[in-house]
Amino acid sequence: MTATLIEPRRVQPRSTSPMPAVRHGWTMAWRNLVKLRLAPQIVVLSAIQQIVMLLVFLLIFGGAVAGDRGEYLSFLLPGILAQNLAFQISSAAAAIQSDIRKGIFDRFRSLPIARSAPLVGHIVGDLPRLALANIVVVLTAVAFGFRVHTGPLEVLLACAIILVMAVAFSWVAATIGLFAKRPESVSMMGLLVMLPLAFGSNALVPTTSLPGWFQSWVRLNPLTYLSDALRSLLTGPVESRPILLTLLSAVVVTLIFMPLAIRAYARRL
Amino acid sequence: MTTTEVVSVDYALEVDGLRREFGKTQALNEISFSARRGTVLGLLGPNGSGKTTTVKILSTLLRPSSGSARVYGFDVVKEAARVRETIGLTGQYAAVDEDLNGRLNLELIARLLGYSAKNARARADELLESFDLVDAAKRPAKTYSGGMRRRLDLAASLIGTPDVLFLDEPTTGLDPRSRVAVWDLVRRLRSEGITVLLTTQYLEEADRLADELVVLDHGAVIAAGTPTKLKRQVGGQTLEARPDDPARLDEVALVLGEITGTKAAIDADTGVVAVPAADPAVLSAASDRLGIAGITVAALGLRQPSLDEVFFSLTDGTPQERTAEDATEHAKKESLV
Repeated sequence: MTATLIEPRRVQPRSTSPMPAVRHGWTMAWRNLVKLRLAPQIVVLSAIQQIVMLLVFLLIFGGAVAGDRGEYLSFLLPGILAQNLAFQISSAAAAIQSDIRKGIFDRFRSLPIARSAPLVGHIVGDLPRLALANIVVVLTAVAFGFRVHTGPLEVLLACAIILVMAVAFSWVAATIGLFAKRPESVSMMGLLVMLPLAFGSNALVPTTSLPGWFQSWVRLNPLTYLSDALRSLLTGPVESRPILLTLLSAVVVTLIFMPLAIRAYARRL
Repeated sequence: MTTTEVVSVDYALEVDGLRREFGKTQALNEISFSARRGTVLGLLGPNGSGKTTTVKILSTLLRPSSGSARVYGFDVVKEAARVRETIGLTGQYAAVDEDLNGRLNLELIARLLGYSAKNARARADELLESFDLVDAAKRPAKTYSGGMRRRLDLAASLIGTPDVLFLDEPTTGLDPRSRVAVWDLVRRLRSEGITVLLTTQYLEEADRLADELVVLDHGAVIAAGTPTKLKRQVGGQTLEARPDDPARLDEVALVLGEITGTKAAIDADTGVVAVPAADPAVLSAASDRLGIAGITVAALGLRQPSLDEVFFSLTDGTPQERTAEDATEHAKKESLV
C-alpha cells in the first residue's frame, strides 16, 4: 500500500454539468437500477405480484362487475396502473427513511451537490421500478386479451400523466419518509395512506356500485381521476375532463405535500 | 487585508462561541477551539457531550444556534457550499448502501460528485486498492465485517479529495485489529497533509493520534491542549519502584521518601512503591541509593498520568455515573430531532 490515499492518480478532475439536478436524479435512478440488477429475485417477485394481482382481481370482480371478463379487463388494467402509484408510496418512503437511518442521507448532504439532490434523487430514482411493474402488468393484460383502442399519441400521453402523478405522490412518500422515526412507522403510515387511495377509488369497481357516503371520497380521490383518464386514453373514447382533473389533482397533492416534505427536510438542520 | 483572513490561512478549523440548542436541551454551550492545517484534532468526551453535534455543524448538516465556525476560512452557514467542497465526512454509523457492492458504493458517490461513469470506476478502483478492499469489491456491503465497512465508508469520504476530514467515532464497535488499521489510515492521511477532526471516547486513541485535544463535557470545552500538556496539567510524574523481594517494600519506601522528601505510598497488592516526583533527576538518585542498599528492583521508573486519569479528574465523574444521565439526554435529543 504505497499509493497515496486521496490524490487521484489517473482520474481526471470531475466535470461540471450544466444541469446538476438532472444529473443527480439520474445518478440516483442508476443506483436503483443497479440494485434491481443485483437482486433479480426482487424483480421476479414483484413481476409475479403484479401478475397475481391482476388475475385475482379479474377473477374475483370480473363476473360481478361487468358480467364479461374481457370487458372488465379493459376497465381493470388502467385501474391497476393507477393503484401501482399508491403501492409505490410505501416502498419509496421506506427507502428514504432507510437512507436517513443509515447515515447515507447525511453523507449526501455533506457533498458539494444541490441540497435538494437526495430528495429529487429518490423521486426520480423510484421511476424505473414503477415502469417495470407497469410494463409487466400491461403485458399480462395483453396476454389475456386486453387491446389498446387508441393511437400511439394517446398511449404516450397516458405514460406522461402516470409520470406526473408519480412525481406528485413521491412528495407524499418523502413526507412520510422524513417524518417517520423508524421503519415500522413508515410501513404503518404507508399503509394508512395507501389503503384509502388504492381501494377508495374506482380503480377496481365503478363508483356507482359503492355506498353513497363513500362515493364522495371516491370522487375526490386523485386515483379515480387517473383511472378514468387512463381508461379514456387507452381504450377510448378520449375525454379531456378526467385528464385535466388528474393534472389538477397532481398540482393540489404537490402543493400540499411539497411544503410539508421541505419543512420536514429543513427540520433536520 | 484584515488579520482574520491571515489567520484563516493557517487554520483549518476555527470555532468561536458555538452554541446549539435542541428545544430546551443545550447541546453545545459556547465552545471555541481551532486546529492548524495538517494536524489531527481529537475531540474527546463521553456520550452526549456534544461531539457529534459539533461535527454535524462543522460539516454543514446542522446550523448553529449562535456563534461561528469556519472550515478552511469558509463560514459553515454563509459559505456552506464552499465548505462542502473542502470536507469529507465519515459519520458515526458507516454510511454505506448495503445492497450495493463495495465498488458501486464508491462509484455512486463519485458520480454524484460529477465524475463520468468511466472516471468514477477508475477512482473507485484506486480507493479500493488503497483501502485493501479489492478482493471484496464485488461483494454486497452487507456481507462486510465492521472493519471493512468502516474502511469503505472512509474511502467514500475521500473520493472528492477533501482537505479536511471529519471522523465521528471511527473505531467504535471495531475489533482491536481493525481499530489499529483505522489508526494507521489516520496517520497516513495526516502525512498527506489532510487535517483530521476525530471524535472519540477512547483516551488511548486520542493520545496516540491527536496533535491537539479538546475535551468536551456537557456541551462545554473543559480542557484543551496537547496530550502531554493535559497530562501535566492534572498531575506531575510519579516515581515508581517494584522490588524483586516484596518483603523489602518498606525499605524501598524509606529510600524513595528520603530522595523526594515526600512520604512514599506502598501498594502491597501490586508490590509497587510510588511517590510524586517533581524533579526527573530523582530517577538516577533512586537507582544509585537502591543499589547501595543492595535492593534489586524488577521495575523502576517515572510514570506520566494516563489520559484516563486526566479525563476523570477533569470531568469529575466515573463512567458508571454518566450512563443513566446520558441515556435520558440522548432520548430527549432523539425525540426533538
